[in-house]
Amino acid sequence: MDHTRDPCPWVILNDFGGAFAMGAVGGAVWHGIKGFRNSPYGERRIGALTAIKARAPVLGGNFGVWGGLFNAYDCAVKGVRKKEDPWNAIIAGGFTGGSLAVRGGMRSMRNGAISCAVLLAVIEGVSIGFNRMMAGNTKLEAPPMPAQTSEPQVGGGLAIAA
Amino acid sequence: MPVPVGSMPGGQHGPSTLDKLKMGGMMGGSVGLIIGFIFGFTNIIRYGPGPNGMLRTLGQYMLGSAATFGFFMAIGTTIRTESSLIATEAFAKAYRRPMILPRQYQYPRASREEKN
Repeated sequence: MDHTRDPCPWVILNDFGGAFAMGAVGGAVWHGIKGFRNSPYGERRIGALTAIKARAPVLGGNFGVWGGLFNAYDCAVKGVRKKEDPWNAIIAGGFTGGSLAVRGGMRSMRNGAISCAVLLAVIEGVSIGFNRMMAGNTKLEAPPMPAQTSEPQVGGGLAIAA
Repeated sequence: MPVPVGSMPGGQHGPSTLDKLKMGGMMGGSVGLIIGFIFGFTNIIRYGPGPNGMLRTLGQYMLGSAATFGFFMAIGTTIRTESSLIATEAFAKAYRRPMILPRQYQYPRASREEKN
């Protein structure tokens, strides 16, 4: 189980910040390139900068809202189910997608919930697969015994001196 | 920033920044491929494949979402010190030292000194 992360209420705050930073950094690169390409010659640098300043924090905010809401639901689902398995994330993703689409009406809530749950299911599946794959190439096997020689190097000289 | 040395047992070091970048990119890329396949397929069924033909549309979907996901997930894994547990664990498994060391690499033990 997972002991490197904060306990439940605090992990929401932590992941909110992490998601915001991820969105802000990614948005800076993304909108930097986009603003650079969409500006006329001579104003490309200032155009890129303007696009970054205007849009990167917004993208960060979107990511942050998503991450924070997801973690809040994740904690809630963990508290209700008293279990830790991939279904937690999938259910929480469904709730997240539903709440984010709440202004679009019932239909759009359903669609958002389904697509978010699918997204989370794929992420969970891929991470399980990655774990398996990484574990596969370090099978535990004894290295060949070293050839029959004298004492190992460590301490050999010392023994004579003593 | 790599994981501090003190937090890993046995003097092993955590993944470096480049390791995390690669790991996040790889994971995001595969997630994006699968997501692109699922959603692209849904969209083709719902709205038709468009003028490019079905396979090309699907491929564009998959590659586009793989690039986007990989990009953001690489950044997301890199900037956090306590990175995603999955990445750290997978790294630790991939770079773990063998459990049984050949004799000449073993650390000197006090008892061996005393016996002689």
